[in-house]
Amino acid sequence: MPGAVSRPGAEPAHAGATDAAAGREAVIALDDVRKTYRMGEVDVMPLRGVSVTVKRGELVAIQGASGSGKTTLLNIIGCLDRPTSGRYVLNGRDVSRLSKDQLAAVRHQTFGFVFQQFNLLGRTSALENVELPLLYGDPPPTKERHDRARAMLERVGLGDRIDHHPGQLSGGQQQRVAIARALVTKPSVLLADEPTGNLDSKAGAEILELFMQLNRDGLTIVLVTHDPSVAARAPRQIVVRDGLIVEEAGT
Amino acid sequence: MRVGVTLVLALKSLARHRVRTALAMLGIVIGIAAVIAMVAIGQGASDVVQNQIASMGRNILMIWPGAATSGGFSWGAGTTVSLTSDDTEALLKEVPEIRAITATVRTRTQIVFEGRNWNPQTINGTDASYSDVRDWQLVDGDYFTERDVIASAKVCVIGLTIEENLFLGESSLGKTVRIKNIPFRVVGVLARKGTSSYGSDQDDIVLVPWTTCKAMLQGSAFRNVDQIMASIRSADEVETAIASITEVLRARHRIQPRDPSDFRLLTMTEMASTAKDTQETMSTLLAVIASISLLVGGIGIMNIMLVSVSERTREIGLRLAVGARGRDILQQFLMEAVLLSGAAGLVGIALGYGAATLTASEMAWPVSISWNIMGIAAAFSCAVGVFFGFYPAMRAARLDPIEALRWE
Repeated sequence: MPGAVSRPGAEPAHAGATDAAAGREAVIALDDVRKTYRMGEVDVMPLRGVSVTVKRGELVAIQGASGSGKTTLLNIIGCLDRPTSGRYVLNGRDVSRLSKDQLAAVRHQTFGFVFQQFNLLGRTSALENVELPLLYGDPPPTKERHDRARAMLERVGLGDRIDHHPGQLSGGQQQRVAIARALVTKPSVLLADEPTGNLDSKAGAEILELFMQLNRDGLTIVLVTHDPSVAARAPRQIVVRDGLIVEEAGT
Repeated sequence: MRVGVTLVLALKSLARHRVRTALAMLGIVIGIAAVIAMVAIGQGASDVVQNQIASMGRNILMIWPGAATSGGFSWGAGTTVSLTSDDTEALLKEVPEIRAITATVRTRTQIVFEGRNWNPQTINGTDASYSDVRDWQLVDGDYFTERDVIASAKVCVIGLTIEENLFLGESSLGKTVRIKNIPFRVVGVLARKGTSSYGSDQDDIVLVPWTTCKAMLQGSAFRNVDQIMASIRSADEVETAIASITEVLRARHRIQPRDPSDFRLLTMTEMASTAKDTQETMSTLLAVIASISLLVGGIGIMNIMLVSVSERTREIGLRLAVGARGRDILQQFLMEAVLLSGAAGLVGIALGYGAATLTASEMAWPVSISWNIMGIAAAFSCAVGVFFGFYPAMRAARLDPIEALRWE
């Protein structure tokens, strides 16, 4: 597969993606994004100048070892964090300098999040868990919230489990509830952080298959994983090491 | 986020932790219940006192003869014979603020009817204005008239206690009773007035014309009276009435400007205000107790909310990730705190009210509780929730979504 390597300060390099998604608009465009934290006495720099573009309809896997900066990258893409320097254009809008509340609104309108730990509310039905994101922003009426949550649970294959609590569901089922929750707001991008990390290989494979299917239906997905075999399932892979994109592969 | 949505969210979250919710509420429940019960009992007692004072009549002013002093030695109140029925007439004529005035002569002796006898607490010699001044209606018959007073008629008006004890439930009207072996015809029966503020039975009373009382029961030739009671037209005029009465009486009794008056004046307003002072002291005490219990209850709520916030850090992180703003989180936790304290307040009110009602029926104590007090209690418990819930809610709202999601 043709690959491209991005270097700090280099021109945005996404040659492979450009070929694949030629003519399609960019949803996510990061340009020389850096992130610096101060931890006690030392400065930590998890991102040292990353430029990447994700086009509508892509399924991109960001792969890297623990501490490579991949999670920081996902946090910045997901507007959970702001870059220290560099530019982030999301759907044509520069979001690198937005306020906390503006970022919350952007997250609500643009992203769905799936986590390794599922992060479902305990003692709460699957339906209510899925409804949760609909409570924020400009919430639709109760009936519509129920209907949309139910439809989303059916889509992930849990139509018969809507009243079950997380404790009554298997890991794979819990992650499906979390995916339904991420999709209920009709996001333009689904962000997943190690979505199979807490699952056995069978359930993990099923979740990945669900991602592929959602992607075939047109959903843009960015997933982060440390596992090369998981990343290999994605049409496009980005490898992150020491805060830099060291390898880009994909069609 | 809409308030209705926040409310549902908060209710659900409280319902998920029932035991904790109940424990968090306990402090405020007990505090509010205790205050409501105490206020109910205190208010009940105070109402009784105020009613008894009011039962004396409206805007009543009482005048007694003063203490006789000879050679620097005081003989005590009421030992002079300074007040006369002429004073009464003069006051009515010269002090326009007086609506009605009556003079009273008191004595105590046995009253007999057909072999049964009774010793009333008081036999009052008085005049026709008595019922008007004391605002005391009759249940049967009529008052004796001014003519009866002038003629020293042998007629009497009796209280219900007398009728019950001497006539055993039969009508006494027109019957003849004997007082000091003198026959008196019963012309009227007084309506029930109940127990006075000092605990005496106000219905254990016989009224006769004061002239009759003086001449026949006391065997006295003087025209002095034991007490004058005046009803003032309105509460606002009591002060000026006191001044005018003092002036008129001092002039009539020829008292030199530097000498003390030979009579004493007391208003029911003074008695009422003394009772009110006592009640206000009580109220202050109650307010202090209420504040302390609300403070303790509030700290309890803050404690539980802080635990709840740290326990739900990941939940907060998730909510922030899916688009909740800081203020949405603040609203949710504040709403939980207010619901906690508000519900605790309501439960406390119900419990306190129940306890007061139980006291009322078991101990036969009068209790009374106003909607105002309940409203204030409810409002204060909610305010406690806002005040003590704000800090934990603020901490929740300021969480960083990444940190919160990473929380173990």
